[in-house]
Amino acid sequence: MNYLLIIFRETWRALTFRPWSIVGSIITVVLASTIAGAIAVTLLNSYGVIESIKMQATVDVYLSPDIDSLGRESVRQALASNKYVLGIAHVTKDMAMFRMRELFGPEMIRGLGANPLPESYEISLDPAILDSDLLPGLLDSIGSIPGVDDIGHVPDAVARLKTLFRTVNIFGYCLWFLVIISCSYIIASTISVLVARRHATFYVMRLVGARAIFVRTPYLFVGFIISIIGFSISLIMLRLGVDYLSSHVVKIAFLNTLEAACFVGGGGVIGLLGGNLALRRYIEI
Amino acid sequence: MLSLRNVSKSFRPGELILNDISFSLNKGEMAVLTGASGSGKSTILKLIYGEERPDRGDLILDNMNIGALKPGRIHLIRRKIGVIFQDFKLLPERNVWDNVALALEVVGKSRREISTRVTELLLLVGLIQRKSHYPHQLSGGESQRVAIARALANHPLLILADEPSGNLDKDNTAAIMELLIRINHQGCSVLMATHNLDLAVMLQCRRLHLESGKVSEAS
Repeated sequence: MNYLLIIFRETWRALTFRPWSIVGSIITVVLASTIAGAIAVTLLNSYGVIESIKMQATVDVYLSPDIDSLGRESVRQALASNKYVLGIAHVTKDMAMFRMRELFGPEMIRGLGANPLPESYEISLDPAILDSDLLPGLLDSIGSIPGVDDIGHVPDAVARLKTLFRTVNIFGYCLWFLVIISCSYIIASTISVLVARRHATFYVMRLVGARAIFVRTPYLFVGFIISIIGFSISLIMLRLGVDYLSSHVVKIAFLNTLEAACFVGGGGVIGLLGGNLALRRYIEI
Repeated sequence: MLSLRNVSKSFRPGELILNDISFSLNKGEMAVLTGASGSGKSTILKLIYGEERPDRGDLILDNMNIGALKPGRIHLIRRKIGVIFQDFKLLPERNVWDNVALALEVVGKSRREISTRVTELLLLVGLIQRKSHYPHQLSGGESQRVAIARALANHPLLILADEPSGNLDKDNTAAIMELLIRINHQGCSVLMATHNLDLAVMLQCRRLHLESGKVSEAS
């Protein structure tokens, strides 16, 4: 008990010995961890976007211009018999033109003359297949149904988005790694400054029989506290930012309680890492 | 109680500062280690309190081989030794009481034990009235007495004093020597390194002389 009290007292001494160094370190950790948090929120939302696009993804199956009602029905039955096709909607030439007018405006389609747009079936696929290797084979088989002229492949966009988000993911992990390294070094530098100024104290403590852990622990706590405060402030800032964007621009998902706890706890681990780095690298106790 | 057997130490290859030295110190014995500056007196003390490691030989204190102790266990030997330096090594941000209490805090003594022991020690060195003063408010003699009180805190078997009067005037030197004799009479062994032969005469105790890396008994 006495040991603990003394360790807490020494931690307090270390924190208040050069308070502006500690404040500077916390601010820098806040900046670095805000970047890390923003990446986490981006990644979190990227998964949501992909899932949402997958749910809405449709494939346009364009029918031959000369198809009759029998052929149209035959195509519909062939599509309906495919287990990956969850829904089929018929889009007539007039409906296609209406949509185009809605999309581009009446001015853009004025010069088209007779309606050149084909009629089609708009089919929605099982979201699971959009990620799978079976998709090209499925599209080929739909394309080879007699009466089908072409396929408008919306899931291509999903694939492109997935590639984009995978890149963002890799970039995010690299940034996370850099944030971990930079936060550790920021904390290590702050602690090494404190340690250098109190080297005489450590020497005397060791001389009178203090165990190395007794001398080190307060500085590990300092690293932990700097990091926990820094990551907590950045979490609050991110929360406020996400709330603002959600209410004024677009709804954005935020970290749940467990993820937020992991974010701050991870920060604490980074702080301990930084403290240990300083003690190992800059002093031999 | 303390035994050095065939101890050698060099800081540069081929330049032995201590060359195969051996001597021992009994429980309750007082000895002065003399020699010119740079002869290796402080090195012997550093080897004993574990700041340096011998290249060869054994240093045994209370059946513990100091040279073979792992760095993580060096505190075990330091709790049996009190060290006094020429520059006192007091912590400037702590007052007299806290400087002495530090030695007891780091070994996990309770507040009550610390309070009792620090009072005893400050009475012994005659500084109880100055317990709230900071090192910069003390004279050299007073600072050294605080350092002695701190060195005695954990009832050490051995006091190592490295030129303890180097920064003191004649009167303060005499007072510190008197204090060391009193501590020795209470059963604590004392090994003092000094280049001042007058001190060795004043203490009227065993003298070990260090020259060219060798230690010899001197009269």
